[in-house]
Amino acid sequence: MSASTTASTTETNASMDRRIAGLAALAVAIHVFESALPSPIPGLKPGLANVITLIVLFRYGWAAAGWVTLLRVVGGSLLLGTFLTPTFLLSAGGAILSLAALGLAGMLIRVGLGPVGAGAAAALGHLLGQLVVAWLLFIPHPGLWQLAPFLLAAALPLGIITGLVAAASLNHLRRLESIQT
Amino acid sequence: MRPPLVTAADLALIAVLAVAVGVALAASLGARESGETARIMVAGESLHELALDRDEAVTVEGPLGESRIEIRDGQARFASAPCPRRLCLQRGWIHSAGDSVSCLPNRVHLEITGNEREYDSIHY
Repeated sequence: MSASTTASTTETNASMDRRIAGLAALAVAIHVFESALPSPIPGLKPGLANVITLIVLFRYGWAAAGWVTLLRVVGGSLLLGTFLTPTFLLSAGGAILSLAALGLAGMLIRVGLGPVGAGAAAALGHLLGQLVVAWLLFIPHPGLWQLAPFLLAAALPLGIITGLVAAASLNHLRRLESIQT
Repeated sequence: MRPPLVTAADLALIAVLAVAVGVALAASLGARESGETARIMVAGESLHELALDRDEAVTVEGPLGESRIEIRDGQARFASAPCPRRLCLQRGWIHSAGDSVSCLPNRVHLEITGNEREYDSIHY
């Protein structure tokens, strides 16, 4: 598990760039698809695009995961027509704190942390990021934070589900690779 | 052969996060319950802070004698007073933050405190 966090050194920068672009495109597709799904509570989504982020984190490291996430947020918003709108700012705030949470969680990969734990941390980070942006820019009222515990309680299981999907995908990828070689 | 989907470290981190979320939930629910209180002052000195969500009655001693204050169903009132005109009793039940009743003869003051005070009046 820990060996997979660093990119292969034989790979050139260009091929890594291409890989990041391809993964980001995949994440954008999931992001756009997910935005078409109705959400029971505004602001609460399964965060399926985060599956890609987790897979990239565990295969290519944190920096690659950061690139894929930022490209997804910008690319997804361009396709959805929300670039530089409040939706985009919320999404970006969530992504940035989610990446910070993944950076912290990434330190625990050495002691055996898998995608499920990382996904839970990322989901909570994402929600907190959105709340911070909402509070700073749109609703500077302390009452907003009364919502936080309930949204966090809902985000935690969603993050775990995302992590399980990512863990299953990573296992599948590993099995495919072992067949090829 | 195949690695497990969930590791022990995953469970440990999730447990820590769940406890943190649980504490935040408990704190926010607890804070909401104690949102409004009835403050009872005698001769300018705050003697009691009673939560409005618990029914109870207290008796305070003023210059004229004992005033009894009652809390029931989220409201507070003077239940008995030794003052001559009983104006404090006539005021009846009060419940919104900022509402108050003063019994000047016995120097007992009852007021509702809370985060969201209602306005006395609004001018445009």
